Amino acid sequence: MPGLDHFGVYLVAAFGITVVVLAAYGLYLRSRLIGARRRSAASGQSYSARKVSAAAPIVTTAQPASSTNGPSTP
Amino acid sequence: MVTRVLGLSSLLLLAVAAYGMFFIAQPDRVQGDAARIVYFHVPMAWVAFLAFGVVFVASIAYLRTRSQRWDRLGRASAEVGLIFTTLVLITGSIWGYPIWGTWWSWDPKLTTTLILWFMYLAYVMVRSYAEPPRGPRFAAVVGIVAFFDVPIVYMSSYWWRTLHPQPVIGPLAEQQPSASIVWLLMVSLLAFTVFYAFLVRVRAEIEETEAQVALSGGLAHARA
Repeated sequence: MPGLDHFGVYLVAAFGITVVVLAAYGLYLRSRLIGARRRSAASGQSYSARKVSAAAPIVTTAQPASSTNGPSTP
Repeated sequence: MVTRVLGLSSLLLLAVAAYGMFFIAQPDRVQGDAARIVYFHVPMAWVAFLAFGVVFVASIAYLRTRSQRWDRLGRASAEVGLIFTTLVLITGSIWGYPIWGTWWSWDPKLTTTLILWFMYLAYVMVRSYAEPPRGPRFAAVVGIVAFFDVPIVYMSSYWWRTLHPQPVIGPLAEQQPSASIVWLLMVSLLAFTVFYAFLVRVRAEIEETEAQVALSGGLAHARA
């Protein structure tokens, strides 16, 4: 390192661009991960996606095809 | 926990590789300090090939099983591989200017690498913009087809007359470099490989967490 030659500027430029791009990508991923975790925690308070089996059944007005009430009119 | 270990160990290994590149490696007689670029240009090319190999395997596995895990792995690996291919093209171009006298040449190695870059850009775009389930399916097909360019890139300097140097290391290398160069290249290669694993893990975790949030939002919407 001490006393790079006249090609040293290309080495420093290539190394610098590599570090900046990888660091920027790392920070971008970190930011997205934090955001996703925050949204996951917020949605998990009211409704947990991990506990789908614990979800309440969805209320529906549809009748089964074999309903004794006969076909429903629209 | 695993992600944290991968992140810390990759930072440590990258620091060791950078130290070795600047303070231990000797400048080349002809290329001077520009030759030191090889210590991160070559490992990044290796990582890009590895990433696209993972995309290839994940794409086949996704088409067979339709498991979202394979889709997430393929998407994460393609994005990281695209970043590394971009850096390979940039650092190679910076090395080429003082050595070849030009930033770019339509050399077989460079051209096939640029084609590889465009194909994985297509993968990422298809995966991002096409709606599921078509998006993952189409992207998996692109991921399988695009991988066939990887051996062409590697072999191009043997198959065609090219400005690009022959591989400096491996079974096809004509002259094996000195032990210190091999040692430093191996450390750098390990550092970038661990860093790749770390980035893919984080990227896949983002995909998984966002999918859970979307599912959670969909269920909450249906419940309302």
